[in-house]
Amino acid sequence: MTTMLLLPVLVPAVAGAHALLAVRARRAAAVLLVAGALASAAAVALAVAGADGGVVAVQGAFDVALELDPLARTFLVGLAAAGVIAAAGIARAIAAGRVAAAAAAALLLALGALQGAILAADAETLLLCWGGALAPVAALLACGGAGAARPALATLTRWAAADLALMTGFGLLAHAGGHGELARLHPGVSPIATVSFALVLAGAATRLGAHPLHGWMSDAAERAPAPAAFVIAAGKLASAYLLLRLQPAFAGPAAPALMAVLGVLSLGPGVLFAVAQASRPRRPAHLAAATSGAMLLALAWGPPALASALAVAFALAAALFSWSSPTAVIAPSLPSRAGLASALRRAERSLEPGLLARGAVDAAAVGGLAIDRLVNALYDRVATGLGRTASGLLRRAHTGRHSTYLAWSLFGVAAVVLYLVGGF
Amino acid sequence: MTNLPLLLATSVTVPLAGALLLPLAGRISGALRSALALVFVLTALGCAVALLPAVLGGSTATVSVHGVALLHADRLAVFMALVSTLLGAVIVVYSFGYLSGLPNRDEYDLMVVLFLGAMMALVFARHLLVLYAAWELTAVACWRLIGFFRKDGCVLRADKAFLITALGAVLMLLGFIGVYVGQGTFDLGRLQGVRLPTWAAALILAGLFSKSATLPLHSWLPDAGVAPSPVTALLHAAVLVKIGVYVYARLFGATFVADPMVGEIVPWIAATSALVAGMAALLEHDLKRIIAYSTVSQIGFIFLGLAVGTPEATQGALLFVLMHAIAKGGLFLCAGIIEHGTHTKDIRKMGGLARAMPVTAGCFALCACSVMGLPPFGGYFSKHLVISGALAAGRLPVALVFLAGSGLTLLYLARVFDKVFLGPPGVAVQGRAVHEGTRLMVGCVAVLAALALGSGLFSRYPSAVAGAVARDLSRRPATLAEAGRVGP
Repeated sequence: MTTMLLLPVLVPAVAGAHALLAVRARRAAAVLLVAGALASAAAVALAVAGADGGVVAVQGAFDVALELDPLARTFLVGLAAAGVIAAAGIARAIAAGRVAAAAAAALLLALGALQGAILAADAETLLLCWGGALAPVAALLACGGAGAARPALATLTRWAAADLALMTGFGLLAHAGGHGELARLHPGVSPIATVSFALVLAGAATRLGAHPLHGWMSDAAERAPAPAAFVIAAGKLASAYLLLRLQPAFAGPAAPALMAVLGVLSLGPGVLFAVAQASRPRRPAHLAAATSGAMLLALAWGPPALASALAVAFALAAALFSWSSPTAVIAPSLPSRAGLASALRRAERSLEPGLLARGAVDAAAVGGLAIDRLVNALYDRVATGLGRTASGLLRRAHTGRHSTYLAWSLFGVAAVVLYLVGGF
Repeated sequence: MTNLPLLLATSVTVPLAGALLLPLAGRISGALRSALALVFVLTALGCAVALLPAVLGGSTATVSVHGVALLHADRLAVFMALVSTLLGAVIVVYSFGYLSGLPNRDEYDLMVVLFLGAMMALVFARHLLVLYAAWELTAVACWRLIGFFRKDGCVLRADKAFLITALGAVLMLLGFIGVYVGQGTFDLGRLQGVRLPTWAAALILAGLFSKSATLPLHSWLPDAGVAPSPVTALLHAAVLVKIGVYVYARLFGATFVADPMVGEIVPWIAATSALVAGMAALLEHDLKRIIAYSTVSQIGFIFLGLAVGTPEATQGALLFVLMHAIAKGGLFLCAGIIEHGTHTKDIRKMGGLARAMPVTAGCFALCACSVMGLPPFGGYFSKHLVISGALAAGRLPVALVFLAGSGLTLLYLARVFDKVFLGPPGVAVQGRAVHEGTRLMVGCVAVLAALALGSGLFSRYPSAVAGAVARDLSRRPATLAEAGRVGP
């Protein structure tokens, strides 16, 4: 039954809505979170068992279409499992007071949206579900503890920017192909196909946390370790699935080459930065970036089954970090004063595309403000020159005792003139 | 059976005539005046709600005086009337808390209700001169409201808004006169399918752009942030700037057949406006100016959708009229609460307000998400429809520019949220007991934030209404040959 496909989206969403009622009750929120995640996993099991390969359409502002192909089964089950593992870890943190109770609702809502993204049959549904996870993910990270709100906002901003890249990529594909159905996308070999894939890859790699688009991940893991573990795991699965699903449509060497470059960039620095970290919670984030690199290399050069297996295994491992307390030792720490370590940390910062892009954004902002000021200066020149009389009259009308009546009489005169001209 | 012409006439005359009674009521009691103001606005809202099922069912209503059709209710007009009065009602309620204890309340209520009455007259206008008169009436009300505090700076900026929009209105009037000279009528019903001369189209567009604060006639809007926050919400986010958009849809979508060049140029003007305003918002420090620049930027999306003209893009544009009004109205009202609490609009002096104002912070975040166009908020669906409509119409370059504009929206709103609500407390917050606004103010903001989210989650319903309006607009004669009538 195709309607079963709605369950993996609806069940966590409804459970999340219920968990909203428990934002002031820690223990109740923890229980609701675990129950919601288990119910979501059951919903996934029902969908996998009951789906018959058809497409289910839901009417909204535009039609939403869901389908379950064999590849999606693996990732949906993986995401549900990661959700249960992370939910249990985060529930523990909620009960202990390390994470705010609202995290329960946020996690379940994010889980529903990301499961929807895996089930999406067309680009519109994918973008809706993919983007629908943004606000819950940011809320989940913001619940992670003191000082977590800023990394949460940074994550939201970067993921949303990545979604714009993704949307642009799909827009180009739809423009070239005339439709947005994922199963029928065959852009072939063309410059527009390469640019589209690069944009889709940038969008997916941001959520994957691949270097150099990983900045959100390490900051979030530092301030909100338990929620970040779920976000890293879920982002990895959803992104890997998207790339695996789209990659075969892009013929030619460009797509594997782009993924391989990103994979190498991510794997090497990811390991180095993880070793160099003085901050323990940042270390698993960099390890996750390194595993993303390995996965991208598998996507580029290996069989799809290997990439799928790596994605699911790495995601489950990442989800396990939600069980670690912020003070738990994950790996032996290098002395923070080590020259290599500090050099690597500086390199990590400078690799951030956010920093690299800041110059361009600042330049654009200065340009925009300059145009605006120019228009204002022009107005001032006109107002103080030609428009002095009108301006003075207006000011007197404004500040005079009978200004309201003057305004009314102005309108009255205008109305009479209009009446005469119009000849009603 | 419902008397549609009576509802139509009531929706216009009650706020217009009622506004004049408010100063008299204010002499008896401030509470009576405020209550009456709300009653007049709710009456207009009620009439618009009552008209909706009928117009969706295909009915229309016309009010004529001495055989001249003055007012006409169709789907587009009722849709705009609903948006205006819904936001107007919330903002009037918010004003009870925001303006308590301030002088000039009599005139404030008069001008707000008068403005909404003029807005109703404008959206229901069937006659170009009624449209022009209502247009000017909104300018007068706007002028008085922006200069509400009567300080030199406020008065100067109010004058600026008046001069720029009045200049635009004069140009628009010249365009109307050009139409009259060629066709011998101001009746929009009789002008349907008429070819609009290019020079008249240019004059009318100049007027529309001045009112909708589109580059290069936008500079009055950020300056108008000196007005009280309910005024900025009402005039500059929710209603006033939508007038230009509405008249564009009415004249260029539902009535005239313009030169195809108009459809080519308008998206690029809108795109330039969206980009420049978005860039300027990135460096601005005044909270209300940033939100005003955001309005300049977002209006571009609406113009894009209408100018592209396909049913999908038009539906998105109309949907965004509603979604933007809700979300931007909410942002301005949040800004009002913040300004009320911190006594500054400079975001560099704020910070850490999420702790002192958690509800306002949450509402600001929800409304900002909608303006950014994040799913499942209302703004997402409308922006998506506009951009996919533009792509489907083969307007790839301009669609890409608007996607870049969306990126800027994301950046400047995230920056505002970070500077205002996160981080350590700023100088305007330190040593001061900053707290939420009154329950009434916070309640109004919460309603708008809930609507910003709810209108996305249940987007099917507003989308259906916008779709019905869009279908009406797309049925217009598409080419000059189909029109079969040639103007001067």
